[in-house]
Order: sequence, then C-alpha cells, then structure tokens
Amino acid sequence: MKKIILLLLFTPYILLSQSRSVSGVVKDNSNQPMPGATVQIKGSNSLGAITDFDGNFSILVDQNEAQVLVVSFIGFLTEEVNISNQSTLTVTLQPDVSELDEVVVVGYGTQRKSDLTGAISSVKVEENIARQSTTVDQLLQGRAAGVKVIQNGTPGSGVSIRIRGASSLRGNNEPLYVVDGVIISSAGEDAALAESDGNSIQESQNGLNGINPRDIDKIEVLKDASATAIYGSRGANGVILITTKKGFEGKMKINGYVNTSISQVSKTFEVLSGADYARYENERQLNNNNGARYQIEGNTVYQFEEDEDGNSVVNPFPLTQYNWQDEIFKLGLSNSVGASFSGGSENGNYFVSMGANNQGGVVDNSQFRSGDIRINLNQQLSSKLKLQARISGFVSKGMFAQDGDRTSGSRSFISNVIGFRPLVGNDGQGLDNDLGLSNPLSWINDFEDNSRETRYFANVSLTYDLPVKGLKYKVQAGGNIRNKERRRFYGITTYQGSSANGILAVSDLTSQSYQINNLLQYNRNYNRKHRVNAVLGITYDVRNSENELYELGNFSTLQYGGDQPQYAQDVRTPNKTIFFKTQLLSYLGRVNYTFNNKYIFTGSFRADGSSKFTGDNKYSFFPSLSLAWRLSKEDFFSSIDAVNELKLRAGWGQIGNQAIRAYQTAENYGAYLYSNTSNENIVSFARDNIANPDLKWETTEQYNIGLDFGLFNNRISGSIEAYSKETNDLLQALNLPGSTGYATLLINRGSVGNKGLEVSLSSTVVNTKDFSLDFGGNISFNKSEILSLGIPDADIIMDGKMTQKSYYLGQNVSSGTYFRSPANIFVKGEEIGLFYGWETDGIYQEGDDISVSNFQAGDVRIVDQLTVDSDGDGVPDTGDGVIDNNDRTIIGNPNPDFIFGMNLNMRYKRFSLSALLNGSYGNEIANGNLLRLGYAEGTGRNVYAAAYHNAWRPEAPSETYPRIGYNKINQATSIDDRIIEDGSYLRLSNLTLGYDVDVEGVFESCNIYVSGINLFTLTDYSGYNPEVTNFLNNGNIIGVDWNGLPNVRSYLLGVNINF
Amino acid sequence: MKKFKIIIFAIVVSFIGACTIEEDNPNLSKEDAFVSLDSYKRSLDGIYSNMIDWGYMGNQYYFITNLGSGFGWSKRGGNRNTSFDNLTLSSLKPSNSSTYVENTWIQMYSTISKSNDIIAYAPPVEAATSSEDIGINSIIGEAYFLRAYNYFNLVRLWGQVPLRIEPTASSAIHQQKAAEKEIYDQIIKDANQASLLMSETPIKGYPAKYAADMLLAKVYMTLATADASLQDSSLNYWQLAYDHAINVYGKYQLLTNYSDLFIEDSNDANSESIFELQVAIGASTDHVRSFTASNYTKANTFGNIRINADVYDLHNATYPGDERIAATFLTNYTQQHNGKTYNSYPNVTNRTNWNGFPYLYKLGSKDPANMIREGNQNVIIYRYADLLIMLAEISNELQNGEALGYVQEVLNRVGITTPLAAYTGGDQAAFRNAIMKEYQFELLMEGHDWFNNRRRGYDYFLNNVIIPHNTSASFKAAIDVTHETSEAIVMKLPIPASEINYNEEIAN
Repeated sequence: MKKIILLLLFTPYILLSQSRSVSGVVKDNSNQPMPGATVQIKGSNSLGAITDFDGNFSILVDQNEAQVLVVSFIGFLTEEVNISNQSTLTVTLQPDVSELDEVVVVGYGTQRKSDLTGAISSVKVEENIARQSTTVDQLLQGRAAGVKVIQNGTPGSGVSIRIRGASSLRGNNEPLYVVDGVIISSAGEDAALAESDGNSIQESQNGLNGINPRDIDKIEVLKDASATAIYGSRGANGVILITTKKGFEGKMKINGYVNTSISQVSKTFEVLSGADYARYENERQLNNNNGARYQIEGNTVYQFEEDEDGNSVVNPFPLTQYNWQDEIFKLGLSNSVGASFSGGSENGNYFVSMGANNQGGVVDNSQFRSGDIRINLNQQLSSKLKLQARISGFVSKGMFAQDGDRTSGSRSFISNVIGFRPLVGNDGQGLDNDLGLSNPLSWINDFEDNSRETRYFANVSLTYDLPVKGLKYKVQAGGNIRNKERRRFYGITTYQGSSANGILAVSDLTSQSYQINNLLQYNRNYNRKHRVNAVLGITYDVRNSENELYELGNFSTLQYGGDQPQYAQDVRTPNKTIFFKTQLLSYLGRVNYTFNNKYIFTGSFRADGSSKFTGDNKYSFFPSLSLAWRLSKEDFFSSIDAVNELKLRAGWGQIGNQAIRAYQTAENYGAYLYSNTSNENIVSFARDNIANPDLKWETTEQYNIGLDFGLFNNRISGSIEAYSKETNDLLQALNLPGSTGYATLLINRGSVGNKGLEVSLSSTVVNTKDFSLDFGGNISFNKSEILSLGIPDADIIMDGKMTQKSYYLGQNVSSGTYFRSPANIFVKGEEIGLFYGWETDGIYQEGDDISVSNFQAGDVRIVDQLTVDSDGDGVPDTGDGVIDNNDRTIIGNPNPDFIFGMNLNMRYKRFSLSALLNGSYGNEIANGNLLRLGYAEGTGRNVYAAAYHNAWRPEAPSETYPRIGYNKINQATSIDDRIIEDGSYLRLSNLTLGYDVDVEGVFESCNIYVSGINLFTLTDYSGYNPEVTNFLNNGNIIGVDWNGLPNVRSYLLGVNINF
Repeated sequence: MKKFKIIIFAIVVSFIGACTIEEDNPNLSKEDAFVSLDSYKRSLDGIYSNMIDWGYMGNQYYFITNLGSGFGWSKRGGNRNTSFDNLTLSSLKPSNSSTYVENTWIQMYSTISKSNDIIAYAPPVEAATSSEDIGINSIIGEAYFLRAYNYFNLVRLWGQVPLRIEPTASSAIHQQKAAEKEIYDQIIKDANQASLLMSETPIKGYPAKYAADMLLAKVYMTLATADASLQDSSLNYWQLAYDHAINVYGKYQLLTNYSDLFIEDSNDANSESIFELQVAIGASTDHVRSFTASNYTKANTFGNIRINADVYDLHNATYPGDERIAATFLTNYTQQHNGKTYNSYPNVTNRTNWNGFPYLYKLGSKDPANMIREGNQNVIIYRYADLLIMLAEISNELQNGEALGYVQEVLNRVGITTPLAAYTGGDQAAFRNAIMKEYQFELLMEGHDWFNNRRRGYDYFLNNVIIPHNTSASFKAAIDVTHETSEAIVMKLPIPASEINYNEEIAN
C-alpha cells in the first residue's frame, strides 16, 4: 500500500528532472529487514525516503549530483553509502551500542535514558532465551548487576529474586513486579497448605506464572531508592518493570516457533550398592552383638529370617538390588510451540500471541503444561485520546513428584529416593509385594500433587492530551484474577496415606487484585535548554485473596486417587477459608528536570495509606532526590575522543516494605474442632495470634552513587554503582518462647544495613558484516550488617571467646528428629543469618583423652568451648565437660562475597552463538542431606558410600567419618560444622548455537538453534544444587538445603520462523 | 471534546469517593467470642481442642509420662535400646530438645494462654440466678480448673517455670521462672475458684466441680511429701487432701468391666470418668496411629510405646490372672498384613530382640479391621478408681481406718477379693508400699506414672522403680534400657531448648 503511495509521490519527479532511481533494502545486523529507516541524499534538504515493511526503499537521485546516501534509524549507527555506480544496494545498519536516547520505562511514566538519575538496569530480552523460558525470572538470571535469581530447573517450581541483598529479616524479600504499569503482587504467593499434618510443607511453586517471557519487550530493574521511592511502601526490595510487546505500523508480521528438549538430573548422590548396604547392616548388627541380617555371596544378597520357633533361617530367594536414583530419575521430554501476529496502521497497532508448552520433569509423575494468549492493542481514538489495552490469559496444569516434609525421613520423596534401602525382598512370586511403606516408587505411583491454574491479566488505559501543551491525563485500570487449585493425594503405600486409608488435601486459591491509576503527565522542552518530565497521581490498589482448604481421608475406593473426593468417608479438616483483603490509597509525584542536557535533577514523593496498619501508622511518606551530571557534555571533555558518554549520578531516597499479612493489628479468633459425647464434631473458638496494634511499615533509606560510561564509539559501555542502605523498624516474625502460648509475633524491631558495589560492562569487540562479537558481564558485591536488634546482650561464643552480644536464633529447620535445631543466628554487627552450631575437630581416636561425657572413640570430636571460669579472672578458660547448646559458635556464613553473570554473543555469517554464565562466590550452605547420608548410623537407611567405607573402625581409625552406629546426630540440639559447605559455583546456564537458514522468497527468516541449559556447574558443593531453593520465603532459615531437589540439565532444539 | 472532559471528571470524582483503606477484618474477634452462653462454651471447647492436640494429650504427653516413668520402652526411631528415645527419655535422661519436651511444654502453655483469655475477658457474673449466667460462671470456673490442672503438670514436670496468668500481649513476651511455691499457691487459688464456680451437674462430657476437688487432693498429696521449702508447717496436707478427696467419694461409680474403659463405644462420659477429653473422628487424638501395635490393624500404626518386662512381671506376680493384665498388655495377635501370629514377652521368653517387650493395649485401636489412624476413644484424665486408691493412700497416712475399704472397691471390680497381706497386716509402711504399686496395676500408662513414681521423692523413685528395673530377673543389657540414677537428672525435665533460645529471661 505504502509502496504505491511512495510511487505516486515520486512520479512527478521522474517526469520532470534528469533523475535516476536507486533502490535497495535496509537490514539490521541480524539480517532482519528494517521498516521505517530514513534514507536521504547527503547534503540535500529533500525529504528522502523511508523504507517500507520489507525494508525496501527507492529514491530518485540527480544524475549529476553528489552520490552518497545517508541511512539512519533511531538506535542504530548512521551509515553513509556511496552509490556512484550502483542502482540497487543492501545497507546493513549496526545498532548504536550506547542507545542513549532510548526511552526507558520508569515508575508511572517513561524517561529518556540520558535523563535518568537513578540506578536502573535495562535487561535486553534475548529472543532465543525467551523462547526457551517459561518464567520471567529466567530472563533475569545473570543479566543485571545486583539481581540474584534463585531457581530450580524443575517444572513450575518456585523462584526467588533478590535485588541488592535482603533489606528485611522477615523473609519475603521479593521485588515488586509491575507489568505494563499494573502492580502484580503475587511473587511468593501460593495455594496454602491444606494438610492437617503439622509436619507437612509443600514445595513452593511459581507465583508469577502467566507472565509469558515471549511476550516481553523489555525489562527494567529499578534498584535504588531514587528510582523506587515512587512505589513507596512497596519499593524496598526493588521493582521489576515489565513492558510487553506491541505492533508496529505496517503489514502483519508473523512469528512462529517450536522447540523441543530433553532433560536429565545433573547430579546424583553416590550411595551404597545393595551388597555394600548388606555388609553395612551386618557390621552394625555385629557391633551391637546381634546376628547378621544378610548372607552375602559375591554380589548376591540373601536375607535371614526367623522361623516359627524364632530360629534364624536363610530365605532362598535372593534380594533384588536397586539404585533408586537411577530407577526414579528419567529423561524428561518437553516441547513448546507458539506464534505471534503483529502489525498496525497510523492510528493503532496490535500484537497478538499464543503459545503452548509441555514440560516433562525428570520423574514420571512430574509434568507442567500451559497455554497462554495475549492481545495488546493501541488505538488513537481521536487526535487527543489514545486507548491502550492489554489482555492476557494463562492456563496451566501441573503434576509434581516432589514433596517436602519438614521431618524428612519416610515422609519425603527426595529423602526416600536417596535413602531408601537398596534391597528389596523377594518371595519368588513378585517383586513389589515387599517393597515396604513409602518406598520411592510409592511416590511415583501413589502420590499426586496436581495443580491447576488459570490467570487473567487485563489493563486498559485512556490518555487524553489536555489543552496545556505537554500535559496529559491518563487513567488506567487493571488487575489480575488468579485461580489456583492444588490437590495433593497420598495413597496407602505412602507414609502419610497409610495411616488414614488415603488422604486428599485440597487448597483452592482465588486472588484478585486491581488498581486504578490517575496520572497527570507533563513532558516539555523549553528553548532546547530546559526539559521537564513530571507526573502527579493518585492510585488505589486493592488485593483480595481467598484460600479454601479442606482435607479428606479414608477412601472407600482408592482407584481414582484424588480425582473423586466423594469416595472419601472422613472429613479430616472441614472447609476452611482464609481471607485477606488489603487496600492501599496513594498520592505520588515526580519531577525530572534537565538543564542544557548536562545537569539533571529528579525528585519524587509518595504517600501511602494502608489498611494493614492502624492509627498514626496508617499513612506513610516516602521522598527521594537525585542528581546527575553528564560530564561528557562539558566543553572540557569534548576534546577527549575516546569518551563518548560519562555521567555521574547520586541519589537518596526512602522506601518501605509492608508485605505482611492483613489483620495483624487485631486479635483474631480461629475455628478448632472438638467433639461431644455422641462423637459429633463441635467447632470451637480460640485466639490465633497476639495483636500488635503498633505495627508499621519498615523504612529503608538508601544512598546511591553511579557512573555511566561509553568509550571508543560506545564500543565499551557500562556503569559502576555504589550504594548504602539501611532499613529501620524491621518487620520481624519474632520466634516466641513456648510459654507465651504462641509461636510467632510480628513486630517492628531492629535495623539492618547493606552496602554494595556493582559493576556492569558490555563491549562490542568486533562488529563487521560477517562477524561480530559482543561480551557483557556484571559483578555485584553486597555486604549486609545487622545494625541493631533491640534485644539485650547475652552470652555467645565467637572466635573461641565468650562475649556479650545482642542476637537471636533462627527457626528450627525440621520438626522431625534430624535438623531439629536452628541453623542460623542473627548477631548485631554481623552479616544476616550466620550459621551457628558446634565446631568439630575430626574423630576421637582410641587412647585420646576424652574430657567430655558420653563420648567414646569413633565419635565426632565436638569442641567443648571455654565456658567455665576456673581461675576466677572473669574469662572462661575451660570447657564444662558437656556438649550442649552453650558450646555453639559461629560456624559459617550463607552470604556470598559476590555474585556475577557473564554473557557472550558471537555471530559469524549465518551462525550465531550465545553463552550465559552466572555464579556466586564465598557463600556457604548448611547441607542438611549430610545429617542422614553422611553418617553410617545404622537406622535402616542408605548412606553415602564414603560414610560407610571410610567409617571409623578400631582397626581403621578414620579422621573423616565416625564409627558405624554413631547416632548423636539424631535429635541433636545443634548443627555442627560438618554440614557447612562452600556453596560457590560457576554455572553455564545457557549455551545456544543458531543458524539462519537461507529461506529467501519463502519466509522472511528462519532460525534453527540448539541449546544446552545448565551444561555444567563448577562447584565443591556436595548436594544436588548449590542454588538452594528450600525455605525461599522464610527469613529465619537461610542457606539451608533440606531435601532440595536435583537440578536438571537440558538439551533443546528449536526453530523460529518469521513470515 | 467536552464529552470526554465530563467523563474524565466523573471518573476522578467517583474514584476518590469509592476508596477506603479501613481494614475489613473477616475474622472472629474477642467481642464475638464472649457474648452468650453458647459462645462462651465454644471458647471453652477451644481450650479442650488444644488439649487433644498431638503436642499434648493427642500424643506427646503420653511419651513423657509413660517413657519417663521408668516403665516404658520406645519403638520410635528404630527398634533398639540405642535409639534416641531409649537413650534419653526411657532411660530417664530426657533431652531438652526432644520433641516431647518441647511440644508438651508449648501445648500446656498454649492451653493456659487460652484459659487466661476466658478468665480475663469474661469476669464471672455476680449473684448469678439465670441458667445462662450460672452456665457462664461454670465455664469460667472450668477455665480456672484447666489453668490449675496445667500448671500442676508443669510444676511437677519441670519445677520452676514461668507463671503467666494474664492474656498474652506483645508487651509481655519474656518472663522469668517463678518459684515452685508461688506456682503451687496459684494452683490452689485457681482450683478453689474453680470449685466455687463449676457446676455440680455439668453438661455431659465436661467435668463437674468434683474434678477441682480431685485436683486439690492431688496437689495436697504432692505437697505432703514435698520438699520443706514448698510446705507451710501449719498445714496438715494429708488431712487437706482427705477433705477434698472425700468430697468426690460416692459421686461416681466404677464401670463393671475394667476393659470397657478402653473401648470406644463405652468410654464416652462413663460413670467412672471424672475429667475426660472428648475425642471423635475429625477431632481425634493420634493414639490409634501412634499406640496401636504394628500391623494389629489394617491401617499403618506404629506401636510406639512398649512396656518393660519387669512391669509385666510385677503385675503378674502380684495379681496372677488379673483381668487388667489382658486389658493393659498386648502380647499376642494376628498381624493384618500377612496373617501371621505375633508374639511378644512373656509369650516369647528368651527376649533376644524387641519381642521382649509387650505392647501397650489400652490407648490404641481394638479393631483389627480398622483402616484409619483416627478414633473415637476418649482421653480419660481422672477416673474414680484413681480417687479410691488415693483415698486409700491418704487414709493409710492418716491412719483413719478407712484405707482398706477404698482399695478393696477397686480390686472387687476385677474379681480380686482377697487383699494382699500388706493391706491387712496393719503395717503402715507395708501398706504404703503396696498401695503405691496399686496405681501402677490399675492406671498403668494412663498418664499418672511419671508423677506417682516421683511424688514421694527421689529415694522412693530410686528404690522402687529405678533399681528394681536395672536389677530385675528378666533384664537383658542387649535390649533393655538402663535407668539413670542421678537425682539431678531423673527427677525433672529440662527446660526446652526453644524456650531458652527465645525467652530472654531464661538462661537454662
């Protein structure tokens, strides 16, 4: 269409002058045609031409005039082409790496990138990575300095993102997500646990499902207070702004993709084989002066049994031996397919996409399927009124094999896959009849954790140009509705289901949130010297959540698993609904003023009124100020050619955090079951919590200083940021002494500081038509410090000396008999959540002088700290001869020294290669798996091969593993440093090789790629995965791996076609 | 254009008008919990619901009182005498971080906290005449009774503990331990208040005021032989114990069949029950799952508590053929998963492995066809047979001549008509020793053994429980636990580690 118009426009010139026509195509560096590029004749004032939707242009040049064409496009380096002897040509534009005039999305508006004063990382969405991803967090991993992504490769599993360390001790430190201007506050939200068994926990699942990475155009991460203060009482953990794609003027573009992948677990534990396990059991029996359990002939194992008279006889059928990890972990097969359609006209544009995704887990009953659809519309309703609409829907269905339980042991899937005895009885008739309760297969065949989720996002805004120049009024209403049902069924061969003839726990979450934003936006230049960008607004934000829970048991038929609850005969928990409703009414404003393109000032404020607080605490006020100076624009700098851009930024602001549950300022009564003498249930009342009417938001004050630079034609660009933040009135779930009758109380107490340095760098090493090489990297250092706790000093041993400090302990990790102690301690003046427990020093040997009671040769030598002052000088100088809680000291630190990410993009002709690495250095992990695997304790469970083979024996005195039968780990009152391991790692998280197939004339382009995800991880950590995802949102358990899931490695093949 | 302006203006105005940030709390509040007799009753049931919790009478309390009495052996955590339970609680060396020590502590205080709410938020109606008001007063009385009962458990198990008698508030989280004397004074005060307010004819299944008398009798019996620092020399504690116990005498009657006490269908609010907790499927204890012998039923049950051989031996030697033996000890049954017969001591005599310990039969399921872990069997805390033995013991101390009559009432029910020589010989000390063992024969593992074995002090415990076990004829070092003998370790439980960790006022 436009081609015809152009042709018509130029027709008169053809007729009137001595001209010749030059035509060609403009393409970008990835060989995609570029519509809308400007083509002008150098030195001419004429209009020139604009490329059409296929990147084609045609221009008339005077036969005798200058013969150079200038081709330009915003965001790309301008190219000059000599056309003296050419009439058709191909022009390739290279992107302008600095992209300094790019527009960046900020809170409640947009700004020119050059006018930014705060710390904002723009994350470029790599199309190929986006197509491999199902959740938004995968796009952020390793991409932005100061952003730490914790996730596991298991389908649908929970994720966590930390920006600049934890500014709160409360646990949920997730950033605020804003999608197209609407806040999505569901990170960390999940259907609540429905099981009545007090030991249960369920693996958390992703609360951000439905934000499809393939629809994302760009992501901005707001990190410092001057950028996030406009989000007020919810900005303290940083803000992630997501902008979805839109269509462009021109004919419809179609993109289609399909990919398929296989996954496998990336690591397994080396446990005892069946025969070795039998030897281990026999040795333990012998040590206890009991008879052997097994008769071992070569590698064949027979079991001793008791006959009717109590005499020991050998069962003639050999036992079957299993390596359970090999048995259970399979290859997972996944595929996804999708398409998008986009286009537009002068008055509007559209982007429509849909996709389907089927992720297979590495365990038979693990799978995640989803489908999504999105419609983005922009339409100019009149010359002054613009409508924008974003609507998307998401449905998913997942089956999950993983099941956590705080007690571990027989109740946990992972614990059984690793630890279940590798020998299975055989009566000569069949195998499975003697597998026993809660064997690994029962978790595959007789356990269900099924999730269904539907989610709708919608957001409509009207923008009206007011009569004052540069002033607009925007009203935006948007929100999301999320329905998630999680059903967990335990059949009778599972430990949980066995005692209740089947258990079904159903949790049904419905959450709705909506916002109405009223914004006045002002954006104007005066005399090219002054530029003002301002916003003033009122927003109202409501979030409703209802979670219905019930639990049934005693099924009359178990045939249908959890699908047919009507066969359950007992109600174990009658329907219970947990309601939450919170409202937030806010007033906000921001002014961004630029003078002479050199000096920039930004000031913002927000006042939040929150329903969660009462009295004077209802309203809170959050200001920020920041300045920037573009040194490179100063005259004295213009002579330095190497420097293209140099900007110094400094900012200050206050932000808050109020992410606590509603109704905590009141005493709430809950419903509990009791019964009468006719065995009928009675619903009784009892108080659930201690009210804290003084609760308020926590306030973070942050300073940030940054330097942005672009060197050598912006071939090297980057930024360096330093920050310091301090959070006061920390919201904490105070662990209460049992004598209060309650477990926790939410309070404001103490303060914590974080200081850090972030460096990010990107460079274009080579960029030619046939070959390009880009490299990017970032590294972030963060150090937290607990500044005050509001707790009186008490005795604590640090560095071998008794001292007095203010501190509190974390939460007991498990409710069972192993890891039944806190792992973390929070000490004033130290980093958050240090590991606290016993120091050890090898193994007691025979002949050692054992000065502590109840220990013997072959036991772990736990250091008896100096707690007794024997000479009366006030300094403890001797141990008390007893190993107890007074002997605990600092034994590790879960906080990394730094985290880093690196990416590499290479293109050679039609080939492209990209690599993404990320890692963490200097953090330690409390590896709870070692508590059972690392000791040949003799409890009938499998252990690390080394724990048995290298166990201490009188004739083979080991210094690494204690004697067989050593069981002081069971119900130990403290952890010890034997489970503290270095958690540093370097991971190649993605490696993608692509090839552009020559499809000229058939499609616009066709790209085939293969990827490897998590190809390797360099780490000394002995557990499954150094990225620990247990207790993601629990601020009192940090860096603890307790039955963590194995990570997966995947290989993916994909095709991407543009029409 | 004007049209748009009007629309936008209308949006702004209506929007601001519609916003509210007042919290709309859908939860039940204090004001709703105490409005009528019915809501008071539901708040009272909230306390009882807390008491049947797994952490307390539902499970953990029975580990403490049974294993910690010196009579029990734990199957939990491995069938061997080196398992954690057997190395600690069963051998009288409790650990301050064991689940039992932590959970019973937490749940007793949770019960107290809920009682404190009723007592503080609901003052008794003065000069109550309407049935509504009398009913409310009776409920408040019951809250006092439950608070006293729980502090009596706490002070006997742990000694000095924090004394909290106000509703828990954010301003009073940390509290130091109170002297035992102070705690006993509060118990007596609360129990007397309970006795004043509680009804003589309560709703079926709830305790009458006589339960408060029984509690007071137990308190005075405890103080009668307690350390002098806990006593007031001007008081005759045995007489006080008698005065309260005798109030209860004749108000209840023994069930005809002893074993009916432990059958689901017959134990609800039976004539012998003085203080019981209601249990039903849905609001169930964990007894079926935890205390039914393994494979005795179709459901997966644990049979966690087993009984030391010498406990069986003493009962069988004292009263051979006593019908209570079959109702207490499970020694032989058909296993539901394979149809084979399971035998334990004394049917298996050589005691080479865990067959050397009978299972406890009283608390678990009696129905082999049972498929589920829940049950309807109520928890009977005080029953009349206990009171009769108490009266016998008290009377022997007072030498009022009534002693034999009471104990004979208990023995008659199980067909033992000829009293032991110790009861008829006229020797006060011999009577005392025999009557103390009578609690064991009648009430074994019903929650009293921990207290009865220690009530008369360390020497009694050492010479009548600890040493007899460690030196019994059936003792086998390979499978049995050896009881600790140190007074500092065996007499009280250690304060739970979590309390020390989180209560800034308690250091050990």
